Amino acid sequence: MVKNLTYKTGQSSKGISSNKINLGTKIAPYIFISPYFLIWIAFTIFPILFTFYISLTDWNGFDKKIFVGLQNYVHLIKDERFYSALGNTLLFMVMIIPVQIFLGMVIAAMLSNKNMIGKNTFRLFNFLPYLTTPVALGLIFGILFDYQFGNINAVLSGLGLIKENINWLGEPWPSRIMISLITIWRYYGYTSILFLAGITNISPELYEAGDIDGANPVQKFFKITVPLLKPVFIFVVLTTMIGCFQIFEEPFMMFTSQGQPLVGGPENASLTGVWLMYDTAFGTVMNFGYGSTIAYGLFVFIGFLTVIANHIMKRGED
Amino acid sequence: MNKNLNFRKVVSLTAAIAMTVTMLAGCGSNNEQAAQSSGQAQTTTSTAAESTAAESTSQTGALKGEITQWVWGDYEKKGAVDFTKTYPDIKVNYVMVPQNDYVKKLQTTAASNGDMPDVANLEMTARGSLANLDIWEKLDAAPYNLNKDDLVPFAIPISQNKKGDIVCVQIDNCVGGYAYNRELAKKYFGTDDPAELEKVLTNWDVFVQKGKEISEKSGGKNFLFAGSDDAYYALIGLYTKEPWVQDKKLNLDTTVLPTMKYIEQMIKDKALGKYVMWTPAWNSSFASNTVVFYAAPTWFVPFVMKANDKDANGKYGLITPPNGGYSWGGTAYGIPKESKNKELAWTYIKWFTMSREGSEGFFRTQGTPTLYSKVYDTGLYTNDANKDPYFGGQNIMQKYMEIAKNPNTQTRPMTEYDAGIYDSIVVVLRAMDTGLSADQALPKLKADIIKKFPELQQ
Repeated sequence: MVKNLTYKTGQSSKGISSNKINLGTKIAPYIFISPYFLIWIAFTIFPILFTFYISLTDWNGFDKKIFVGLQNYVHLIKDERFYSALGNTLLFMVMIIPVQIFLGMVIAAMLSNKNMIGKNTFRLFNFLPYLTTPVALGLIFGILFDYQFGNINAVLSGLGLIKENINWLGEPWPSRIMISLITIWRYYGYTSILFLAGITNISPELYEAGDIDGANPVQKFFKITVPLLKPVFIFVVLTTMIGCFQIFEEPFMMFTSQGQPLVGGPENASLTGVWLMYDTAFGTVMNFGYGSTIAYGLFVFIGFLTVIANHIMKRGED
Repeated sequence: MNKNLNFRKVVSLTAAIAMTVTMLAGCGSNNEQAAQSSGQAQTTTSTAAESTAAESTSQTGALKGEITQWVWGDYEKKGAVDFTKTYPDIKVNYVMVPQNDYVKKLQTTAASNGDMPDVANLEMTARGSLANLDIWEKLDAAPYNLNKDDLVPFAIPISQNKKGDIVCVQIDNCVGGYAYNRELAKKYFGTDDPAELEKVLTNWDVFVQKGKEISEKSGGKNFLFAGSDDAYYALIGLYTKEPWVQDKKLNLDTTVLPTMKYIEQMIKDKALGKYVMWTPAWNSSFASNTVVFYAAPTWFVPFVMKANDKDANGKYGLITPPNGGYSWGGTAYGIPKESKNKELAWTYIKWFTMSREGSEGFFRTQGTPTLYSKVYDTGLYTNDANKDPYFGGQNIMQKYMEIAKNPNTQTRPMTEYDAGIYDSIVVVLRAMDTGLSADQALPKLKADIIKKFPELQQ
């Protein structure tokens, strides 16, 4: 009996200990990952939900919030500035994406050439514009694109390409071209890194097979590199599209960091969605509520466009 | 299994939404974070301990404690050195906040129930928006009881909210004259004497006509003003009696349109250069000897002209504008309702803006008079020691005082829409630079403003 009892007790304590271990094993991973999720909830989920709540209010940050329901969203649907900002952003996409992707891919192909000398140095140079701070960007390009004394106008004039100086910062289309050029300059290095990673994953055997078949470098680029980069290509197009919707720093710094602040650029030609959101919430309008509504409006539009673009590209793939 | 799949889909979708919105939110908040971090970066303190007068007898022993002022420069710290002599037991903490981010910092602090400063700066551009918020102490009511007679008359409209309460007091007298290049004036007007020049430029029509002559005689190389921004500021004193918005209706036909018509004429006459204000090219225009006139308020002389055109003694003169005068810029001090040290804050503001000692300190360190009217006839600003070799020995402070006392020197009553309207005016000025007429520009201006503030009517 005693034996049995001892046995049973032993068995019982062994069972508890085993359960504890099992429970511990199950809980431990959650404890380990919880800091990340707690921070994520505090700094991501909460702001997103709170932003949605603010978007249903009329609030300037100082006074009390007034709940207005969907009134801000009704206004957003009718807001010409919002559509103008979306239109500008779509124009930027058309002007930026093809050039940025083409440049990024060509440079990645060149940098992946095994015969190239100083590869790492060039990779660094390529990536440097991506690291440029927005303030420096506004200052440097402000001087380069200055109407009277800018180097760009001087070079174009010296080459005989223009008769009169172009008012890059004062006219709608030149300002859009300028912003596109700056954005391409800033991000093509980043794009080329993505393509470079994709190219690195392509098996060298394919290129060797190409060599054996007598393919020249151009043929190898178009027949091997480009088709096999399609997944990277889709990723880059989608992220660049989303990136274009987030264009803010470049036009903002160009038109506000020096000279008379010109919100939205000349005739609002460079007003982007995020700049509109910023100006509405933190600028002269001082309306956190409607600014948050614009943020959600942009999110819906970006999501919608991303789904369509993804669908089109995947259909092409099939 | 299906339920599991659905749950996973919901989780993935939520994560995707969260990430996209975060990317958007992150984009807009960069500057804010920068502002906050830079705002918190530097805190300097001006204490009685720094002052040799700490040992002197305190005039107001009862006043003791600390106040905080958010500033974007060292103007206050330098100007208020003597404050610590008079009030050795009041410690002033200066917190640096970049000027461009100042309103955002106030806004986000209020939104997050953070600690507001005891003294806040209301710069002129954003003052209409800020002053009309219900967050300030009324300084002309008890216990402050500000006496309006202590300030020059044109300081009142730029200190009031739309209810007529005084909610801030501007420290600097920012009246403006026109600085001119003496050499070019002699060339085109036959004289570089300020009094003679004022006799020629009696009204704005003459001024515009002279601009045309300058352009023609110089073959388009010399200009009346550096650009349309300069012309706009030169003209802002013209129509100041009415606010830009009255009863939720835009009031621009009588306040902005006449100015735009003059600018249109000057652009047609090629009397304006193509310098955009505050750009490096504009800065270099001072030394280029191509521009005859600059709209020059008091602060413009030390911080803009002398900074951009050093070694130019005797090069400039200063005249009163044809219409009498104007005020451009300025920083006012207000006490947020959330301040925990209101009495000390008021003591500091009153000393700085409405006392002889404060006026002397500010003028000595910043070269700019205050708006305290009681010292205007004491010779503090007008004595011969203020003759400036940069202006060929002209006593420019005497000229500024004349302008300040001129009954035509007025300031426009402020509205909460002014900063947004001004942004739209700049957009329209850029369009006028490329050929848009004033009559075409006005509807564009109104439409742009209404898009921002749909509650307003044209």
